Amino acid sequence: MTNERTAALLRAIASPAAAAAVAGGWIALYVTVAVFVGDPLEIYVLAMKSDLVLRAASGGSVLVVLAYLVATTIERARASRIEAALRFPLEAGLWLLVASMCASTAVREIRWGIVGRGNPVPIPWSAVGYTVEAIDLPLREVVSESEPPSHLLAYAPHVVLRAVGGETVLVGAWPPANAHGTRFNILQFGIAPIMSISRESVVVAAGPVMQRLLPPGVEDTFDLPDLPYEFRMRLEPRPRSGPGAPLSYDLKDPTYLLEARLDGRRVFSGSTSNPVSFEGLTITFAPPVGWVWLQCVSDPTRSAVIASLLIALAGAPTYLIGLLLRHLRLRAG
Amino acid sequence: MWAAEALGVGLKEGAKLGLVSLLVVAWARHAVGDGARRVALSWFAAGLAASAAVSAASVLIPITPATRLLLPRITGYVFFLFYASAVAILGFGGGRRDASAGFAAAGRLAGPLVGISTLAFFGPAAVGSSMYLRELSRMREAALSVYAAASVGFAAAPAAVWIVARGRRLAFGRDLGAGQFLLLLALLELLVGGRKGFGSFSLLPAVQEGSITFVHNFVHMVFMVIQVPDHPLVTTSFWNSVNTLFSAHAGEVMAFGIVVAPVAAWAYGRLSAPFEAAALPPGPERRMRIAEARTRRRRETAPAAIFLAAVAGTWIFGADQISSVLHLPDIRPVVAEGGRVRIPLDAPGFHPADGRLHKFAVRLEGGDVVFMVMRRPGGGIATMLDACAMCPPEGYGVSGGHVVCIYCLTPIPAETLGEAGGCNPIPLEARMTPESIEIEVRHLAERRRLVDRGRS
Repeated sequence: MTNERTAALLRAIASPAAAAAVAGGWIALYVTVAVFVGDPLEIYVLAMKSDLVLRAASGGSVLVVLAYLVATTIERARASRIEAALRFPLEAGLWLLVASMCASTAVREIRWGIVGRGNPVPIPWSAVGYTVEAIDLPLREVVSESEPPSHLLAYAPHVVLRAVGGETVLVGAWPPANAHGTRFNILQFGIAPIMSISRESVVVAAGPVMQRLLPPGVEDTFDLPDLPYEFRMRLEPRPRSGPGAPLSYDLKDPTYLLEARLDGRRVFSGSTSNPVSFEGLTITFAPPVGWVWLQCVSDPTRSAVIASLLIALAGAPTYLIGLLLRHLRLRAG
Repeated sequence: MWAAEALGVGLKEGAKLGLVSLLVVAWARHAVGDGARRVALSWFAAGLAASAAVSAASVLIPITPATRLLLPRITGYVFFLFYASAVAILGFGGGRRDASAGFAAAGRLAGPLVGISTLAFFGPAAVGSSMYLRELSRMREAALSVYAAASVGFAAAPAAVWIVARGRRLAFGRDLGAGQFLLLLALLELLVGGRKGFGSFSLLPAVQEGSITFVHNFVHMVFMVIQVPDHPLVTTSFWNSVNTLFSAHAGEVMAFGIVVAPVAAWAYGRLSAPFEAAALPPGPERRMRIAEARTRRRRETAPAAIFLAAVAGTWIFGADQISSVLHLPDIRPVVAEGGRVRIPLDAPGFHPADGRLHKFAVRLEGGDVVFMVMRRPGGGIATMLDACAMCPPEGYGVSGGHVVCIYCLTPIPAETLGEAGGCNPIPLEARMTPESIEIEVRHLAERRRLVDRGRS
């Protein structure tokens, strides 16, 4: 009797009705939250960090869909093993993607911050501590706008981290470097022009100002404490080598096109190739230093997410072939 | 032009009323028993009366960007409820579900359920149309003419339906299962559920907007998991390729797929399923029973075919309208600390490099100040008040790739954002750090006070 009840329960869990109820329930919840509350995925991600009920509901739903997927595949295999085998990878890949993404939102730990040489890199979830030993920025002397982009990454900055025990980790932009269960990568980098601002030969402010000026041509803005101006800045191209020649930029020791505004009125606009002067102020520029935005992630589900994406992508064409075979079988039979 | 628009709004609401009434009467006449029919029709009438009352009472609701945003969302939500119910019943009921049995199962709740469904179906769209007419009459300063034109349209459409249907047996109700009935209702909501006149007859834009948002957020989540670095580390061409997933055209295709796929799959499954009579020995009886079954299936799937054809037609002929939907971004609340409002650059769902318009609200001096952040195409982050320097401060939305002033619908070139003048949003001074955008509370309050005094 107990076995019969268990079998009936398993059949109910693996039934299309249960899978449809679970999927429909989540869709209804998603749409309701989207219409009346806000971004459902954002709310879900935040809630999964701490809400046990939501975690249990997500885990239960994933298991119900898995049971349905297994039962359906067995059922299909009775009619045609080839069709079942062709349709399984896409469905399994999508299931694994959803399951691993749900798990990822619950267990992922992430920290990021700006680091410079000698800075510690604190990682709360790891016993291994790191220090930034070196930063290698791709600030070549000259870059040209006509250079074709290399693969997916336009720049290749690197950071060397040294663990307390002496082990070093070379971290680039992508793929992330793995060390002791933590994956590191550089999210962003940039240059920080070093400025010295003086009034009547008295320096009123000096130091690096972090800017997003790459790729060349991009403009960024900043202001400085105790000064009423808004500054806009972008890299200044070098003089063209000839008519129609592509623009090029010196990233080692760049000059900038600077604009200063006071209450929306432009008070200065020009190149920084010479010291800039306006309204009694003088600004001089020294070669910039680099800054790096380092990301540290602990996510045991990462491999499953990547695997699921690959399985689903590979399974999409075979799924279509499986559907075609089913169509032909039904027409013939 | 405005009179024709008012007439169009009236015709739209009238046509909806006429067609739904026709459908309900046909369905109740053939698919519901006598007792249940009386209950269904009387509660349907009660729901219509309640919708009319709500529409009339809506003159008291102030017209704000928030209500403009909410009404189409509610209408879209009603479409979703009808459509999802239809798909669920079709999927598990095989297209036939005895309505009398359904009424019996619902017991005393059946009648109120019909009434509430009717109110949900007509109420929000009626309120939206009522508000739209109010705005039209104010803008044109011709309330009498606007309401007269709308009334003519509202009366003419049901009258036309009544004249056509008068004396007919409405036999098509016999082939309507509960799923098909709800599907046709969802179709009517989809086609004429929009709030405005000629501008938004279809709800497909809402589905499109939702699809784009979902894909954007999902891709963002996947990118976070596989740790894709930020622009400009990743090449512009790669980023542009990813952005095609969030384009208006991709959204159109997704919206079409989402609305069409479940119904098409059901209809295909129903039409292609093996016939029970195929097991009979070959002969005239087998052929006759198969032919009967095929005819029955075609009748049952006819509403699905109508649904698919109508959605495809809307998609093909209304493509321009779909891609030019006015999108109002959600407003995220933020808190001021230490005299500054700080927006982290990598908060969930937000990154200024995505080129989208982001809105934030901070509570200052007892009121909310809404401001916006957006990356300009040429680079740099623009920070602005969600208020125009010229028009009443109704804020901005996004349409067809442009930031648009909601009041006067002027498109603002994205590269000029952050510059004062014209109908541009009022610029805000912000301090950019690699991790966040910081705006002085004092500055925000000053700018907002200027807007309140009309001296921006």
